[in-house]
Amino acid sequence: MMQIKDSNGFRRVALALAMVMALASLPLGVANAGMVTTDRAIGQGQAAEARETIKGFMARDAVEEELTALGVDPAEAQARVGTLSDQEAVDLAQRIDEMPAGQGVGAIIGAGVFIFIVLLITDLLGFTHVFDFTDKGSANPT
Amino acid sequence: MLFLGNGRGGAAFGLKGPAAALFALFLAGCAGTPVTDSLTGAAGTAPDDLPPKAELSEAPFFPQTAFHCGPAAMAAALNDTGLDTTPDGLAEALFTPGRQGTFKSDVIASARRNGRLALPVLGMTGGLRRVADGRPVLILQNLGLEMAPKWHYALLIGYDLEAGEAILRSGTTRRQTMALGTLEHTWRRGGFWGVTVVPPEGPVPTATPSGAWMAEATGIERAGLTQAARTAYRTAAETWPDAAEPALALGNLAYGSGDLAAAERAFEEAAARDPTNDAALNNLAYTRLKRGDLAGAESAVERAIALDGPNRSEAEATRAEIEAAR
Repeated sequence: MMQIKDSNGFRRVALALAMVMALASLPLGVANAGMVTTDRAIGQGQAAEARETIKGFMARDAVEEELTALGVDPAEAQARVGTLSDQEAVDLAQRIDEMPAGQGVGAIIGAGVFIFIVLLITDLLGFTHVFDFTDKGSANPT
Repeated sequence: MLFLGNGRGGAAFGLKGPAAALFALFLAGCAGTPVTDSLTGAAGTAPDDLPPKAELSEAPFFPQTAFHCGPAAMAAALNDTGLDTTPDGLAEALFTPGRQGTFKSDVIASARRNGRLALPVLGMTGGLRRVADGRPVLILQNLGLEMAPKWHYALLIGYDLEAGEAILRSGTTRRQTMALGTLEHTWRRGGFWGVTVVPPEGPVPTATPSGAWMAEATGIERAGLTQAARTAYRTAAETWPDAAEPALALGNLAYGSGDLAAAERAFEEAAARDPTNDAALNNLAYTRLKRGDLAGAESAVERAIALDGPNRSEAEATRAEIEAAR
């Protein structure tokens, strides 16, 4: 077995591998270097330069890693990210931390009595819709 | 009912002192409802082309289980396009355990992975228009406040401007009516994010920009569903006869599958649709080169370079390859 002592060297190998993989996973319609991809033609891909393609690849990688850390199966994470354009992947990588995740009924708000009262009042005013019992006539079939 | 009142004015609650101060604070934090006001005629500017009411009473419904409003709403939206699926069948693709919820990006990805387009809506009026057009809108609401958010996906399936109501498939409620103002507040806190899920053969919702359709179609192609992507591109080609991109995308698909004759025809069509599209001309030149038609390749690539467009460097590279092949 090869021992990895020099982490710098290891990084260089990893980067080279990443670039090879990036080129191997070029976006849509690139069957050949001379063709303009559909992504690029519709302004979704910035893949004109290899640098940008790699940016998209790295972004996909980052999002995949983040999803896996959040308990998503690695193959599933890859499939989710695989549908994104370079541009979408870059956008998503930048803001996945703060992105809301819809939960709906059953979501527990880590909140004290104060927040409870606030939401109760805002519910009654129609600003929010947290509690079902504040509904006025909702769910009545007509 | 525990609380009575019209639910609109704070005075109705007889708030005093600190409670009134608190109340003023919420009011400051809550914008008005300009969209609702204009739609319901309070501001008198309801658009003429929006029918006064609509309800998609046949829209499917799946009651959600804890944290799974995303899969439930999406299952309903997909079933509406004729796809037989369930919330459980979608949970793997939509649910993210670490956040106990569903990301917007995964809603879009799951539509693409099922060969469907997730077309974004523009604002609340745009959402109602889609409903009037015949398709429900999957929306992201923040039912709580920014300081205590409660993110929720629901399906907007109807509205009644005169009654001032929106109709939703939401949570465990098959037909939920909600004041339009409340929809506006809760949806605004969700950034008015919403998508209509549409099958690749259409119909294309009214006023859809071709770029939005094409972005979703390429997502389907990226998901590996080539046949569905081809159908989506063909729908685009019929819907936007002047757009080069759908024909170009069909050409790239054909080229990728090795059918160079079909690719050449598609790129010719793309260039005919929009003679200023240098991508179409470049790809036409490259395909002709691969077919051994050097003269044809040269004439196309010269036109591409002469346009001095965004793909000039690709066209020059193509010309160099043509020269080398001589």
